[in-house]
Amino acid sequence: MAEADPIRRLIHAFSRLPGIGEKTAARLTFFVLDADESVARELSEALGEVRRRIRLCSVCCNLTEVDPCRTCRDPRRDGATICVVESVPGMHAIERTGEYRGRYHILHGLLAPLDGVGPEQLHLKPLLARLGDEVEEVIVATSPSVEGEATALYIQRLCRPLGVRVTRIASGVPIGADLEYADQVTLARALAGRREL
Amino acid sequence: MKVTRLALRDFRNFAEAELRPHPRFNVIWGENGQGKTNLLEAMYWLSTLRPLRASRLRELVRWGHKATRVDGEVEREGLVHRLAVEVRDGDRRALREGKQARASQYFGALAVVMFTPDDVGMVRGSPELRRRFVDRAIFTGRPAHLATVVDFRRALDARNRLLRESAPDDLVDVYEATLAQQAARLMAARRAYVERIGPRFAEIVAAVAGAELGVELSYRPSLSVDPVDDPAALHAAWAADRGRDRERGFTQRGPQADDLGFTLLDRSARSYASQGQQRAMVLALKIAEIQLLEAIRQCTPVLLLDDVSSELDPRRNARLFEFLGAFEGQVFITTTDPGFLKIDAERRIWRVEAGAVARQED
Repeated sequence: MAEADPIRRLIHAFSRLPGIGEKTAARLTFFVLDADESVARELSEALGEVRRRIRLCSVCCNLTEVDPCRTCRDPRRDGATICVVESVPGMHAIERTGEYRGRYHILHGLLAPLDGVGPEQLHLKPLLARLGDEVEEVIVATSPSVEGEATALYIQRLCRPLGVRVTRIASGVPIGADLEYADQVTLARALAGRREL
Repeated sequence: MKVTRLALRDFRNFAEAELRPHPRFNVIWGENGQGKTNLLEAMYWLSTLRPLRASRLRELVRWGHKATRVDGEVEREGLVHRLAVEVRDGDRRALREGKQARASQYFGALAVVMFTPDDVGMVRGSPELRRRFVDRAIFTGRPAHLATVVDFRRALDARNRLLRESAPDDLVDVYEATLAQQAARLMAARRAYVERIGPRFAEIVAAVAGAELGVELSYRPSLSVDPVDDPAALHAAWAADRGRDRERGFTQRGPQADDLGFTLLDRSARSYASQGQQRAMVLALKIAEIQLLEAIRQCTPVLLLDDVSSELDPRRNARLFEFLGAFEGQVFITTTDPGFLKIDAERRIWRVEAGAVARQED
C-alpha cells in the first residue's frame, strides 16, 4: 500500500490533538500550506523544541526548562507550605490568584483505579522526599470529584505519620458568580458544607 | 407544568413527528409495536436525559440514521421553556432555549413521573426495581440526586476494581473512605424519602383497599450502621468486610444492595400479598410519589402511563382513573384499546401507526 501523502499525514496528526476534529485539522493544514513559509518553520521548530527542552522539575515535578524550576528556585517563596495540584494548569490557576506564596507539587494525575491509575503513576515519591523539617503544611488542591477526594485522602494518609499538617481546599459556590447561576450540584454541596458564622 | 409541543426526528421508529398535546389528557392509541411507548420515552428522555429502556444511546437513533433529536416546549407558571436533546456522532447534547447546557443546569424545567408495566411488578420483582424507583423518585423532585448516585457508583466501581486487582490495603482503605462519604449521602437521601412517602402510601392503600390491610413501607439498607448513615461507621464496616470482599471480588454490602420492604400485617408482601394486593400497593406508591412532589416541591409532574390499565383489574383501574380525574396535571396514556380508559372529556386522541402519529378527531 502507498504511503499517505504529506497533506493527509498532517491532517491526521492535527486531528489527534484535543478539541480538533477532522474538519478543523484539514483547515489548519491548508492554512499552513497557504501561509508564509515561516509559519510552518516556526511551528515545527517550536514543537521539536518543546519536547527536547522541557522536562520535569526534580523537586516539584513542574514542567520546566531549568532544573529545579523557577518556582522552586525563587527564594521569596515560603518553604513551609506545599500546595499539591493535579496538573500544571491547576498550578497556574492558583498562581493567578496571587494569594499563595508557598511552593507547589504537581501529581500529573489523580488516583483513578477505573482508568488503571494507581499511586505509582502519580509523582508522590518526590513529594514525600520533600517533607523534611521545613514543611509544616500540605494543602491538597485536587478537584472535588470522586477521584480528587480519594487522592486527597491518600495524600493525607501518606503525610500523617510524618507529622505534617494536611489541609484540603474548600469547595462550593464560586465568588463573583451569582448564586442563581450556580448549578444544582454545586449549590447542594455548598449547602452540605456550610459553616458557622 | 405542561408539554405544549413535542417534536421527534429519527427517534426510534419515528422519522418525523410533531404533537401539540392537550393540557389534560392525551390518549395514545395503537396496536403493539407501532411506537406508542417510544412517544412516552421521548418525553422521558427530554426530562431526565436518560433513555427509558436502551442501555446505549445508539438504540434511540432510527435504524440506518446517524442522529436523532427530540424538541419540546414546556409551559410552567405561564412561561414557555424550550428543551431539546439530541444524539449526534454518538454524543448526547442537551439544549435549553437553544443553547447547549450541562446536565446539572438542564434539569428542572420538565418533571415527569412514568408508570410502566415493569413498575406493576415492583413488589415481587428484583430489589433493583425498587432501588431504581426510589432513586428516580428522589431525582424527579431534586435533580442533584443524580450526581450523588453517579459519584457513589464511581467510587464503588473503583473499590471493586481495587479488590480484584489485589491492591494494597492502604489504597483500598482510601477508596473505602471515599465510598463511605458518597454512600452516606445516598443512604440519607433514600431514608429521608422513604420516611416521607411511607405514611402517605399507607394512607392511600387504606383508602383503596380498606383500612384493615395494614401495609407499611420501609427502607432496608443492606449495610446498617450506628450512628445511622454515618460515614465513619460505614468506612469501618467496609474495612471489616475487606477480607471477604477480596475473596468475592466485589463489594457485597452497601447501597448497591439496598431494598425497600413492603409489609402487609407485618409479613412480607412479596410472599404473602396476593397479586391484586401487590398491584394496589404499587398504584398507591405511584400516587403517593405524585402527591409528595406536589406537596413538598410544589411541582405538578407530567404523568406518563404506559399501558398500565391492561395490568390492573377493573376495580384498581377504576381507582386509577378516579385519581387521574382529580389530578390537575397533564397526562399521557398509551393503550391498545381506548375502551379501557375512562376519560371522556378534556382529551385529545393520538393514533400511532408504524412510526407515525396523527391526531384523531374525537
